[in-house]
Amino acid sequence: MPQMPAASSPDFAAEMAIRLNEVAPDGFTVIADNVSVVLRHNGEVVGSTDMAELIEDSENLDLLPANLETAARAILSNVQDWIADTTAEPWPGERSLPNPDAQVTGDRLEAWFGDQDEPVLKLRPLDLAI
Amino acid sequence: MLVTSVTVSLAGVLVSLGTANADPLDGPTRWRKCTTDMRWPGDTGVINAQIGPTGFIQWNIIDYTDNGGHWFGDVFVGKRRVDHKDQWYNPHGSVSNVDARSGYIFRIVMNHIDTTGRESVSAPDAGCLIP
Repeated sequence: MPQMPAASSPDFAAEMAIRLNEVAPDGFTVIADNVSVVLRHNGEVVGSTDMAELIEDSENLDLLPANLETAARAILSNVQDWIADTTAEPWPGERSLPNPDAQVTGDRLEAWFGDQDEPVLKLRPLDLAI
Repeated sequence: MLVTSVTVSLAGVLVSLGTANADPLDGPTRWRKCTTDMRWPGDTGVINAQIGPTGFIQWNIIDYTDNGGHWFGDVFVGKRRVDHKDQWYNPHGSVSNVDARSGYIFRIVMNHIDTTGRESVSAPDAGCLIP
């Protein structure tokens, strides 16, 4: 089994929510509720996803850190979808919906929208060792 | 494919008899390859999906009469969950080409409780073999 970054599902959900909340458009709030990342718009819940659970999925532990990347991509994708659906405008960016992606390097997870070399939006890196 | 709960129960029995798989997530033994235009129509709605040239899979679900209400469920590649939805409008999404691994089954397992309380669930054949 590869060395696992020290991240629990609730901690991961919380850290992802904090970073997404930093970049969410006005009127939107991203919070964590245990393992779920929840998007609110003007106080109303738009959607939630518990994909952070994947990083402690006992059937797929051998896939870490791929599970961290998959969970991050899914969380980004859902928040992107909810914002775009609510506003009827693409987010982030202005023309189309850039694909979400994530990569774990050592104890650090980076997540972004668009091309890795030229992202439309990049989240603050997440230190998995904390 | 969205069908009523009763129909889904029947479909589940048929699938189990045909494959002898204990785990319903294993589904049918013969899955069609994912293509650029896939549809799984059912009694109450339809699931659409397409795999693009770069291997991304995009999908959506439409209820024929009522896209409101509560939608919740998961997307799998093999037995690995790659997405989860819990929201109040009809879902759509994409699976990265990193997660859509060749040789595995892409499957959508989604539930819908519409604004009248009618419950639907995706049938077990809503999926395809990732080329």
